[in-house]
Amino acid sequence: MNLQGSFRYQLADHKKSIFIFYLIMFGLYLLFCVGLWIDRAYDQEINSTVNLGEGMTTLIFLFVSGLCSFKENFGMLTQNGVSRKSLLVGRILVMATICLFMALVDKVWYFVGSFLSPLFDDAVKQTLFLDLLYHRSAEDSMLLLYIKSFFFNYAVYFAVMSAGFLITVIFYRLGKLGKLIAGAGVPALFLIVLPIVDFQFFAGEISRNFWSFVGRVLGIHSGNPWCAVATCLVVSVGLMTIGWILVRRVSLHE
Amino acid sequence: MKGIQVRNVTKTFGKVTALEQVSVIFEPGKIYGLLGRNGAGKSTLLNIITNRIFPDCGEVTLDEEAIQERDALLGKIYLMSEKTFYPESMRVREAFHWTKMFYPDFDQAYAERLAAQFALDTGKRVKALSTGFLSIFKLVIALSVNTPYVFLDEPVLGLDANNRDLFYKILIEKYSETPFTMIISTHLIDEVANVIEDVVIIKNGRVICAEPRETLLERAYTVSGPAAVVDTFTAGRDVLGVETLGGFRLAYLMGTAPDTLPKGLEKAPVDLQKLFIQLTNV
Repeated sequence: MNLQGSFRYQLADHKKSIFIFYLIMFGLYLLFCVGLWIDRAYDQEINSTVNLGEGMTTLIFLFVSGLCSFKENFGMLTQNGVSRKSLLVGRILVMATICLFMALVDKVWYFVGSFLSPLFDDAVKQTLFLDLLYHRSAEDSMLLLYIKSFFFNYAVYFAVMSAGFLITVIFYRLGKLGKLIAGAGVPALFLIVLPIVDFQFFAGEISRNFWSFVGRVLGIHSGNPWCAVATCLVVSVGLMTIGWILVRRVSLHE
Repeated sequence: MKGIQVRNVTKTFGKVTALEQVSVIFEPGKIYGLLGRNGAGKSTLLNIITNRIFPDCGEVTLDEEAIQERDALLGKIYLMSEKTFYPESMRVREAFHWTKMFYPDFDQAYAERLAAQFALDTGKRVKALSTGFLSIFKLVIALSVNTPYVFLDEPVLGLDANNRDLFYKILIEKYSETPFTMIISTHLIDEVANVIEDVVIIKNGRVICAEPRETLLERAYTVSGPAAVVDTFTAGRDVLGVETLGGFRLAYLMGTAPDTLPKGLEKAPVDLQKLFIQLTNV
């Protein structure tokens, strides 16, 4: 397998965008810190704060990155004699590497941010992505919290990036009509038709059961983020398996 | 059996049959001309060999091993296609760098020298290249990649006469230094006629001819003269086509020309382009 080439090329494809992403994030952080600090210094009565969430922006970034990670790479790698298998294995390794790197950076960012925040009178705060879904256990040490948060972020990042990749592969394989149906029809079905049907005919039972199921598999009800880690990894494996089924016989579009 | 062997390959796109039961062999160290009219199936054949698309049936082997999804074998083939698959934002020199990653025998210094000869700016991005320079960019890589099999699909698209001349010179120079298998698919038959050793002609998805150029040309000839005399002579022979101008007629024939011809008739050899037109007309 030409795995090394596939891995290095696909990884390099992300480097610039990740650098720009963190540059913007850092710029925004700095802008808010300095802006709000000045604001407070001039007017003591204003006690404004900004909460820059941790993880959500990375999540969106990785989803979009996943969406942009097939067509061009497939063309370039096929041009250079790389098989579809090497492409996909390389893609999985790249996603694993990027998600690992970004989950680590996000933790370091949060850690450094929590030290810097008092310097700016706590004008800018960060909330752990984990804290949005789970209540902190009083028994957890900060180290355990960081470890939990890191694995949680990593697993969610990987699942979301896999979903982005799978969507772009599906769109690549579809014809014009298929793209239209998938692009407009599927969202319309889930966001408009299904909710209407659910509330009209089932009194919201479908959505209640759905969210209850999601809560259970993500361990939200039990307050156990390790459930979410396991679920996300299983989902990722499922998504990439479907991805392989779609990629293994895909033709390069002329 | 050494070389690339295509066995009973069929490929359809919807209702269109692009290739039908195609079998052909590309031996090591030869320059092939892959000829055919628009839509004959040339690019489809090259795309199947290079694993870009899959055949409906049949198989392609390299040195008796199936090529499909085999990195080690795919790394021995380079296809310069009409469509550019290098990212638009990539600079030419970056493309050289990555080609070296995938094809370890890629000669980067040689590529830089060729780029200078063709006045190709290696600092330019792919999207900024004109049609001609895009062809040059891909040609430079194809000529520097040093794989045993190099396929060129419309290599001189958009190239001016000077650059075309330079390309053919470099091609022959390169081939005489280290012979490799080259398949040139082009419509400019006159230009490549003296470069190619073997000819493969595809017509409506079928290979109608696969043999050395010289053998093919030796099997064909023209006779010309008064229409009535030509008609009498060609009766019962394998006539590919005729051209008539007033009372004068020129007939293209396959087979061995007799040593002596009826009075008033003249015999002449056929050039490859004319023969191709006659073979693929209708």
